[in-house]
Amino acid sequence: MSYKIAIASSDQANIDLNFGSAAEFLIYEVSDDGAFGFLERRTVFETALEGSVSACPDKGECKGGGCHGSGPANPRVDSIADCRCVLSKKTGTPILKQLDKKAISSFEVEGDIEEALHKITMYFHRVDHHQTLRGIANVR
Amino acid sequence: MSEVVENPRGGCVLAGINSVLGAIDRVCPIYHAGPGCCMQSTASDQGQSGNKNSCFVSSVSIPSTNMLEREVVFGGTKKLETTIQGAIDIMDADAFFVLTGCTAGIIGDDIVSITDKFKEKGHKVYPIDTPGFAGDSNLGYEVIWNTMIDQVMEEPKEKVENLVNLFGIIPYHDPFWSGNLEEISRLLKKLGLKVNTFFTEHQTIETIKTAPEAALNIILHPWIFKGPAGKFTEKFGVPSIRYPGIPIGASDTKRFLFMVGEALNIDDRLLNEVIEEEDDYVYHYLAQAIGTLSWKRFAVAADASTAVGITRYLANDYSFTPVLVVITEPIFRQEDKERIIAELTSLEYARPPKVVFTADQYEINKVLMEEEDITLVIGSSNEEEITSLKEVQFIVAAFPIKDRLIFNRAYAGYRGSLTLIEDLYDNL
Repeated sequence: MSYKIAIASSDQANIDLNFGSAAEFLIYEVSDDGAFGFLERRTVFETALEGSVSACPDKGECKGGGCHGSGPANPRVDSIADCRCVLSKKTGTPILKQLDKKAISSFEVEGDIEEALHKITMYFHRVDHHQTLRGIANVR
Repeated sequence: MSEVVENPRGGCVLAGINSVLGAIDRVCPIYHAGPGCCMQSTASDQGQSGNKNSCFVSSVSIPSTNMLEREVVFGGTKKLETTIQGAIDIMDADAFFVLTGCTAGIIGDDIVSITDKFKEKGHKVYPIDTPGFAGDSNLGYEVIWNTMIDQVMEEPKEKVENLVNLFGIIPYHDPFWSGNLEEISRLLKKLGLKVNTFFTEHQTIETIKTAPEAALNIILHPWIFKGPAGKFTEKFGVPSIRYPGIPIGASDTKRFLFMVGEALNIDDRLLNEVIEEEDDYVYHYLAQAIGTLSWKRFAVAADASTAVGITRYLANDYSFTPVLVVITEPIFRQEDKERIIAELTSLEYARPPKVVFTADQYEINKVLMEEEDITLVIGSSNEEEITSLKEVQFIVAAFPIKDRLIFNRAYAGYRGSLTLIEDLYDNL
């Protein structure tokens, strides 16, 4: 099955934005054999709600028991709901929880998009095909 | 080889390494491992060993990279670098050891390149590139000593003729390690020796550095430390002797002291003087409580070292009848099994007990249950249930021990044997 990856980038070459400050996500499609290609740019429509309210409402709901991402649905999360994972410089905890609920994994990574995509597609390929991860840190 | 073991005793390699590092003052482990490894590997050894904790840093306070999926995909070396730097900034330690968890071991993170960077800056950061899944805590004990020999110990400036190193009494894997080390070193000191126990008397990493100055390595264990001992001899020319187990009581401790005496050419007169004095001390007390303990047919379920020591003491010195001995750690070399069997069967006058090797609690319970006319079981907290079912007297005297507080209580040597008899009477 092919899948999509969302990337927070300001220059289409590097992962350099925090999840929350991305005005758009670059969407890449990865095919069965692990080859990936650029699919589209997906603009996030900032709603009035999001502009004024943080993703963490902190109405005392968490009561110190850890964050469950119970704030209002985040439009950025909604916009990439069909992706398998998202790569950004940094993602806040409430957003992480919301991504978790949609089964989207999030990786905090900086730098070259191609390089990151190469690593992550290799990882998913191995996991999907029940192959060992042995020595994956040393594969260039 | 793979088999399922119920209630394994101890943890993975990291647990074994962590136990040794935890017993050395002012040494800090750094885990390159998943979240939870610090706590679990501490809980599996230190947490079940007489409720005593590491003197410097243990459990959740150990620095860890907490590797997750991100580190698997993109490599964890960068995170390791910041974690080591953080540990150096915060922990006032004499040395740091970087341990690799299973995750780091599988993906093959190059930890040596990172520790080298810190070494260049003059920090004492030593890598241990053996992942947790490589074996159990016993292997961990050998791995950490191999690391010490390879990376920490220095070429001796001079040889100290009366200095000995003590190995084989494994911190936390023997709940009585502090007391046992103290008793053994007390006896050796009476022979005019200086003793490196490494884990008592506030000995630090400096003691380990100068360990090659010693004249002899003394290993008190039936099988562990074969590899490191060979390496020690090869690299620093220090020979080793092995006393197969913990010497408990007058007969065995005398045998041990004679062995040391012979290896170091200690004056016979001094040796006999010390033995006479200690014999007198022990028998003086034993004579005051003759008959307080009735005769028992006993079974022991414990790690090899403890099992050998207790069985031989109770059979040879206290004339109890040994019926069954269960060796509860996995032992792989045939020569080791033979050495253990030889120790357990060459008793002075008792008939040799049945010896069973199994680490599996189901099997241990089964053999204990099947042995009908035993009246005493000496084992670990794991045997508590089966002995209450069996309704026989039981004392907890081997790892894991969950319900006793043990500071310096010892079973080894002359004085330890008295403590063992006290505990037998108290029915702990």
